[in-house]
Amino acid sequence: MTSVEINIREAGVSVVTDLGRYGFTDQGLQVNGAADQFSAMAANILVGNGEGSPVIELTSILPFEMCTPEPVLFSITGSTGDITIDGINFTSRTPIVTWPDACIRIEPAQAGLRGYIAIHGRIEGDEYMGSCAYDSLINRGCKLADDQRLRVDGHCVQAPPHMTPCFPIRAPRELYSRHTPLGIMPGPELHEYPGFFDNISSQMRTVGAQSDHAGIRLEGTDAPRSRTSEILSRGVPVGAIEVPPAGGMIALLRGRPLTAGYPVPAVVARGWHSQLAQIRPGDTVSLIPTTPAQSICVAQRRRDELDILRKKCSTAFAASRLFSPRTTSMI
Amino acid sequence: MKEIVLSDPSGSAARTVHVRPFGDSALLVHPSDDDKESRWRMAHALAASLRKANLVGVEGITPTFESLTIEYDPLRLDVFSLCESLTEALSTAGNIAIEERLVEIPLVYGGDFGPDLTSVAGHLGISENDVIEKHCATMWRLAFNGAPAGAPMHEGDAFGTPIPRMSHPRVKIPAGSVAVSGHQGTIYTIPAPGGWRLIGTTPLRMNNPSGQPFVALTPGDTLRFVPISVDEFHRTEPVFIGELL
Repeated sequence: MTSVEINIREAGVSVVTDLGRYGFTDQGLQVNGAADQFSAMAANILVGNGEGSPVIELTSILPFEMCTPEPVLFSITGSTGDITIDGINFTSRTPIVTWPDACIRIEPAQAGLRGYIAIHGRIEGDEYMGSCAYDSLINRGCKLADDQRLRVDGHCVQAPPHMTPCFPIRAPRELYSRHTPLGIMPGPELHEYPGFFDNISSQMRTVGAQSDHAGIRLEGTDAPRSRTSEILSRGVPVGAIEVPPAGGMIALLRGRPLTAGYPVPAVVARGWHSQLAQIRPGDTVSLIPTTPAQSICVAQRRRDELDILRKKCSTAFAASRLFSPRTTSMI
Repeated sequence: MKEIVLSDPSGSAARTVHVRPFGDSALLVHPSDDDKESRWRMAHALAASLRKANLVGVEGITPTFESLTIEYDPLRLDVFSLCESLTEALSTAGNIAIEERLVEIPLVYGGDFGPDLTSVAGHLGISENDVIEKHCATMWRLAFNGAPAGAPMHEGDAFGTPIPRMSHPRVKIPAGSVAVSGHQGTIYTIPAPGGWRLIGTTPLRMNNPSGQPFVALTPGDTLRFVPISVDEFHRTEPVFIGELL
């Protein structure tokens, strides 16, 4: 299999990750994986990879730069600022074929927090228990550093016959703003927070600096609890809004602790999990009560968008004979 | 979906669980036995049974002290099918045996190794030595491997009365710290924040991020704590406990 070494010139804060390390909750391992699953899957689809292939997850408050010694097919999704290759402007959410010694630079974004880079082939990661998902707690996964070489196997692509580095395909547009409405549903301890859902959608909450891939801190009016009894540790899902004893609330992301004993009055519904992952410290959020039906509609629409995108890409890649016969077209 | 009650179709009254939605992608399942031990056993037997069923769309199965959280992708598995599978699991769950073995954990009590031993003794109104004696004499049952990073959460009625959490949680607790809270205990696998009371430190490592399996203890194991001296602590190789079993 052919391979190429990408030179990460400026890493900012970035990691190699995939969709998550599933199946080991009995050993106390949390799932982790791309915080914004939709953007990670879209990035992979745009380069003809399987949706769960490793991607680079970057924090879009810092610039990122990488050079490709040989042509590669890559894509950038999620939150990004201006994208240039050797100084020429390119857009996000589309497949791009680079040329030899191309230098790709991504400027910081104005809003949103995480960008995703996929490269056709398989980005080398630190694989553990069947996944290369970055897990900061156990120090597994590949955190990128300046001037690091990153291997990509099976990257080989032919220059497209239309001789431009782009394809007329774009993944659906994501609008990131410094204010995010999040759909929420009742959590198991809602009844211990009388009136929690009353007027909640008109309250604005600021996202605190103590936010990371485990969860984002929501500051604002404290929710008074009608009981003081302690809750025995139990499994908590992604999106759970915990009320820790120190006050405020924490909306949990995929790097959350697997089990916890804090009360959970509400849960961010699945249809909003990708937006939840794009909220940065200093942003504001409002919590809007929603229903399972609405949430599933949103999630299904996103899923349909990915399926349509994959069809478009397959057609375009097949027609352009982009992939060398020596590599599989769909990894 | 509001809370529902599922029962074993074979009609055994003991096998009933209360199921509550935990958002739109997870269920929180509470076995309804009166006995705490049976609730723990049922939560873990159900988890094993569901794992075996290998349902498409299940994203996580986490049994803890007396509940079970099941995470799922509602686009691939609807909640009603999941409840059906849960009902099926209820009828097979009882047959799953949990391996039980005795595992000894060496630790140094008190001082810098267990800064809250004094406050635990104060709360109980007994001497620090009595706390150590009661902690060592108890057969702790490993309830599950949980947060953070595979911490062995165990249960036992060592002190007769629950130990309260700290009013101000610590920001960073060193790995190896042995902590108590309520009728539960845990051993920190990595440096982490926490509000439980620290009574000692073990030189052994409870997880193994450089190999597989990640943890060696399994729910149902019995933990017995054995006091060692500071000298012995420093002479003990900080090995993964799995290498000693």
